[in-house]
Amino acid sequence: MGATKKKYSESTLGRQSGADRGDRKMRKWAGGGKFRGLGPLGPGSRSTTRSPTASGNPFDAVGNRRAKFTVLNKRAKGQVRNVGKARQMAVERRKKTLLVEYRASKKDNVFKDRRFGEDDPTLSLEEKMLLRFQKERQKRARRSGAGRFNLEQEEENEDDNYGGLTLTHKGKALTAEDDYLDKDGVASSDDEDKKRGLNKEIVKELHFGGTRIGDRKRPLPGDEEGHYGPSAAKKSRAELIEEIIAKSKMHKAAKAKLKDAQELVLSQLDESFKDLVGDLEFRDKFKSKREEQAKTSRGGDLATSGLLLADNQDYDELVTAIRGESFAAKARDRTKTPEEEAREEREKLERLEAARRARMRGEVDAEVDSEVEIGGSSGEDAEARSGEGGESEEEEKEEGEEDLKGLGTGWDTDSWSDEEATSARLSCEDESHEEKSDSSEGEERAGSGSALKDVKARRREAGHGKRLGETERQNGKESGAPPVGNVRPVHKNARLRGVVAKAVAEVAEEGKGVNPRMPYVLECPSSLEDFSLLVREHARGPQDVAELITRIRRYHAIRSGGDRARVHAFYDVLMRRLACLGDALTAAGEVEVNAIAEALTMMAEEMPSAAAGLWGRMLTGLQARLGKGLRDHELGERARSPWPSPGALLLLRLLPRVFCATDFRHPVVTPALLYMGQALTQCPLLRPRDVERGLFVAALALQYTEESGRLMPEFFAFLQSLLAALAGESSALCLPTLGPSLAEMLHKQTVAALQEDAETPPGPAVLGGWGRRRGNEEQDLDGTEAGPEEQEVGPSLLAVQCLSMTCHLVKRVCEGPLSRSPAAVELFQPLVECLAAVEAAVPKDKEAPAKCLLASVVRETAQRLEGAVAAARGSRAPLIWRKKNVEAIPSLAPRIIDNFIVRRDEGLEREAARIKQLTRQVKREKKGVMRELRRDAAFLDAEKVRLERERETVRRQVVKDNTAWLEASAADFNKQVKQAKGETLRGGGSGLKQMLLGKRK
Amino acid sequence: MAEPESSHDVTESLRNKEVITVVLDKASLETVKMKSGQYCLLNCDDHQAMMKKSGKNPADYRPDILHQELLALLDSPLNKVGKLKVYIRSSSNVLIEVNAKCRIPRTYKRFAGLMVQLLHKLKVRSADGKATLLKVIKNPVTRYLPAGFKCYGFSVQGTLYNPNALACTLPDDKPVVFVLGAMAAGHITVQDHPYVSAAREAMMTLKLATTCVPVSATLSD
Repeated sequence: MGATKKKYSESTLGRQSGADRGDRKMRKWAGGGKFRGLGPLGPGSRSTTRSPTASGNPFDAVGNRRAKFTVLNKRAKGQVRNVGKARQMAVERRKKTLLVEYRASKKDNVFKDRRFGEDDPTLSLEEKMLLRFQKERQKRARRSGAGRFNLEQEEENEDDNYGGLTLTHKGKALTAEDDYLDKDGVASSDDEDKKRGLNKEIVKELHFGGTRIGDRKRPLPGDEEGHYGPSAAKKSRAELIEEIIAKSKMHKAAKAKLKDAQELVLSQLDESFKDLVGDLEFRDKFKSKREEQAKTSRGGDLATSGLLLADNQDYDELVTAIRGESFAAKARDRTKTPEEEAREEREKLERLEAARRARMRGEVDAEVDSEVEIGGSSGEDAEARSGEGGESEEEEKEEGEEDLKGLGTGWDTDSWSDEEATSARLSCEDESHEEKSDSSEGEERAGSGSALKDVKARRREAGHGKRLGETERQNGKESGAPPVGNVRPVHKNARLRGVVAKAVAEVAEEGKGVNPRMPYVLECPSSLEDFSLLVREHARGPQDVAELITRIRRYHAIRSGGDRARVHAFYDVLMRRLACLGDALTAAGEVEVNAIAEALTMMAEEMPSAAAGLWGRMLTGLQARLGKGLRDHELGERARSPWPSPGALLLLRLLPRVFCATDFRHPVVTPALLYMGQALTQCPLLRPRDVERGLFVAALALQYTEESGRLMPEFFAFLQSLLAALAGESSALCLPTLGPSLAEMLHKQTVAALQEDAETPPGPAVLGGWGRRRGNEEQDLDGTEAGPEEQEVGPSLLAVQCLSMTCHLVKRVCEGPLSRSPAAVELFQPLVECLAAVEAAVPKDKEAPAKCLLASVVRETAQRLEGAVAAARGSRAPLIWRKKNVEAIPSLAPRIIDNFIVRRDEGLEREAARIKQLTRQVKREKKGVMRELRRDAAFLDAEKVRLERERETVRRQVVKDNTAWLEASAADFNKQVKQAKGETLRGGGSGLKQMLLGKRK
Repeated sequence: MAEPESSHDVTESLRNKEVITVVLDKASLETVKMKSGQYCLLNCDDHQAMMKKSGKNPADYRPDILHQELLALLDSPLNKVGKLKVYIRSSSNVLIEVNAKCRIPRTYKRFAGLMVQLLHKLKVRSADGKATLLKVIKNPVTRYLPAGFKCYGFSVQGTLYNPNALACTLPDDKPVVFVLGAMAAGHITVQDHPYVSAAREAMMTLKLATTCVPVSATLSD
């Protein structure tokens, strides 16, 4: 791969260099020194950069280093080199060295004059001699080793004999007494103490070494003692050390002296300052600061100024005052657990019961009096305790009134002669999350609003007694009816219902105050009979029943240690009681229904699994009853409807408040939904009350599924079927359960109602009633008290109610979460068509008047539904073919080397790189040496050849000269012979000539 | 100027087209050695003094143009579906083959480092070391161009065409080669590229650095 790379690069680069070459040449010829020193211009340009050199021959300036890449500003060694010049220099060098050696080889020795100053003509003879001597001394000193330890003592010893060498003059020592100076008298001493002649110092300084010749005459400027030359610098080691020690001692002494002097001065100064201190005046720092603070706080509020009191005393007082106050937090009672609360409740009830008993026995004392008061006002107490409930009731009232305003007309319960119409009306309570309002609500409402309500209220009051009788009669009549709401035997249930109704009625007669004789601690009833007995015994009115239930519930709460089994039984009793109340359909039962509903909800929280079981059992019973009713219907039984009874409906209505209805799967709610679905699609619609119950169930189904957005197809089928029937459409859209006669009746009534003017309402104004019915259980119950005989519905009333209710449900559905479902178009489209058909049911010539309320409601509903369908259609993405999936090629990040450095041994270890480098160096050196040797040999060969050639030339010249001389002499001789014409001279010529010729041959 | 056609038609015409080759010519890829010993890609912003000293024209050293063009080309959908082949030819006549998988560094600094590395090592591998992303290859570029290709040169002096219209007029039966300049000043000449068949007709007046975007975008539609 490396080879490939190289090849590529070379080829790439080679071409380039070729391309560049011409360019470069041009520049070269044109250029001054501007391009000098530039690297090659293209990668791989073969060291072809030639700078014009001093020799002027550009072909000489050829570098021998090839740059692999073009890198600006990079200079490689050997890139620019003048080879011609270098070779010339090499030849010159060899001439000086190798040639000389060569010539000298096998020759005589050479005298090398290494004498000092021999080459220097400026020196005089004396100086030369002196230098030689000096050199000699130095040499000896080096050799002997004495110079290495040039100590003073030895030197002193040497002074006498100069290291064992004595200078003599004519065999006499120069240092002897009879010095030549003495003899001459030139240096005769004036001073007798001194030695005569050169004293030691002079000799040391002026003679023998150390001093240069030029320096000798002038003394050094820094030499105090008048020494000549650099003697000061030539101190011995011992001297130096001594000197250093002396100097340091001197410094120390000087320092100590200085310190003493300073201390003395300082003490004197202190003394003098003490005298001055008395005259000075000082400011009190803290005092001034306090004053300043007081000044700043003077403008502030009292608290601030109080805190920043100018005086210490004030501050202390403040601190004491603050300390006196208690800022400590006081612990409060902790929040009680539900168990503790329940236990307290139970204890309280026990206490109240004891007080009641005491009162009963006449053992009243002061302590119990207060309890009595509490007991007397227990109704209020209960209300206070369930304060939230009260509030919610008020809210409901307001809600109801709002509905009243919104829909204009009141709801006439009296128009509902059928007792079971209640169920249908119940179905309109769409958002009532609380239970029913109390009985006073109805009256309030009656007082507040329309004339219709007034009428209704009056009728209720007037017909109270009558109703009781009716109820009884009705109960008696229905005694043979199958069980309703639970699995109890029919006769028993009916009897119980009668008992309950009677008790309720009795209780209702008594009024609303809570019975003060009612015990606080009651036995937990385990059967409906027991409970009925309790009610009959203790309750005077519906409030009392509610209170009774509350007391039992609170006293026997599981949290407070109640018997679980008995509480379970009580729960069952309450459910049965509720069903019975629903079936009994009395207005007075409303408070009780409220209480029971509350109790069921609260107790279900306490024991969820047990409650679920009980509810499940209830649903099983309902299911069984439905199945039986359907079978009976098939067999031709027409007297009894398989639709759920009002009591069952009441329980179903309560169910989503006890349990969570939004769960995907729930042990109680899911069966309830299935039950309702079955009822909606399988129960026959033969009579108007079937339609009403069906609508109620549909409304319940909507309530169950509205929040979770679950789809219940039975609901849609039922609504569609009903609308189709109202429009008089073919039975294809209707459920098979819808009776043809009923359908026909509904259609007729619808057509009639749509043609009527709204200002003359069709009988009682029913249109708004559906929406207004929220949370008004009392009226439901109330309105259904009328017997079957009284069910005088207006000509088109049923259809009108049915239509408006259906419209209401449709509106709610199309505003609910299902409108956002992808299948919204398919779900709503049949309903749209049905509504259109209803609108079209009126013949063209008899167009509905513009003011027809029902028609407008239908139109509005249709518009909303169409809007929802259009929105769903618009939100749908058009179907498109999926694009062919094109695989995107992956994106790979290149490997980028951080801090990329171009280096020869990149990537190797340091040591390895070093070794490699050394190896390269060795190789290079070796090559260099071989090259040098080769060139040396070539040089010598050339020299030899040259010498040989010279010799040959000389020889040839000699031969030539000789030959020339011979020829010349022969020619002369021949000439003379010729001149003599053979007379005086003979011979010559041919002989020599022939000889010469023969030699040549 | 031709009427712009809908992108749908363009897509149809390009759907089954061969790989389109793009040659980025006259890219300025030269390295410089700094005082610190570091090697850099010579550019007119950072090495002004050096260029002045060595008598180079700063306008000739704009490697950032190449960077932008490479980014535009290699990030284009056309490249992502593997229908693009890119070659770079530097002003110093170094020919580089670019792998379609190469993810060009987003910052110029890293790009410059990568180019220096490439110019000295002659090859750049992917981070996992499996694929060769950039490679210095042998000249001339014609030996890598597909047989029977039709070549379009781009110039600032040519006729202005709508990219969409041009894309529609591309021959269906021949592979297409575009020669784009990666330089700031100067021209791509027919002398340099004698194989540019449609030079006179198809010289397009488009800004060099921004050309790649519409071209690649149009072609990839």
